[in-house]
Amino acid sequence: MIVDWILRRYPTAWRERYEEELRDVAASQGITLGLILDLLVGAIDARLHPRLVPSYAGGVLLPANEGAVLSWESCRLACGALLGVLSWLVWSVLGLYALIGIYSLVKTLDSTPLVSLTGSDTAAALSWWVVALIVGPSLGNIVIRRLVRAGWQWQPSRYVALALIPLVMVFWLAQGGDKRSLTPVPDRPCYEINWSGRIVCEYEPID
Amino acid sequence: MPNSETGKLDHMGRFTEQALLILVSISGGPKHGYAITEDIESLTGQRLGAGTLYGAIARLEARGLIEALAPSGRRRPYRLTGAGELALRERLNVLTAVTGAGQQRLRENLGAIGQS
Repeated sequence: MIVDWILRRYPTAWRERYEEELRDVAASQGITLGLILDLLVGAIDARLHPRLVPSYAGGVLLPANEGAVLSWESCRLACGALLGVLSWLVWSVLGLYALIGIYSLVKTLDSTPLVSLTGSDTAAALSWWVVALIVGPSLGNIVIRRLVRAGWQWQPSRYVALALIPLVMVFWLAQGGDKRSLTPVPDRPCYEINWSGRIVCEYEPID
Repeated sequence: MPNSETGKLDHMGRFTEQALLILVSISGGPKHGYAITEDIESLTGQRLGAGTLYGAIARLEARGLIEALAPSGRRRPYRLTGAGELALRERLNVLTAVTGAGQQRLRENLGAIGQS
């Protein structure tokens, strides 16, 4: 199934010429991570060199040509994958930093029921960050596939959306809690969380 | 100075070595993709991935060094063209000269080390 998905990433002319043979060799080798990566790199290479295989375009035979074609159409798979990986990495790093207390997002989590559920804000934040990382792409894929079936064509946004959906999830979760104002009580103790360096005081809500 | 046929095996980037192995494999007679990977594995211990194999085959076909025969079922055999045979001979001659020089120098160097 994954081999079929990867083979569909090859250009049409390439598939018409080599797909059956590629599938035959891939089936004989057995599906391994190495084979999957090899086929993915092959698909990117084929996209970058779409004229390696002679093809008809508008009724005109285009001869084989090894030159790379650096148009958006030719590098769509490579550029999209690169964009997706980069945005996912950026989201992961920024999300982690935000949720362990450097940025203000964790402040909004302080006042949500998630904190009382897990006992500490950082534990809650990290738990939801991990959940978002795991569940986000799946939910994103479902949403995007439905949009594509409905006629949505702009490919780069598919990869950006995959990275944005976990962010939206966490933000939505953070917004769902108790938003009453909080103020420190003077005689309540403050303490430092060792591994994040944050100063935390006991709070009491003001009605 | 390489002539035009030898030059056809140059500038293949990461496919250079694989292209040479494919030419060697089908120099013994036409073979389809699966048979080529099996043959190369028995020769070198290295198994070519399907994507790499067909990336190299496409380049060799585009340069006129190999040609496809009529398919039998899902498998299509490939054979050397005249240009492919010439390019392979010339590349192997170069490699033989390099191998011989390397072996000779190693022997001389080992002899010098043995005497010291």
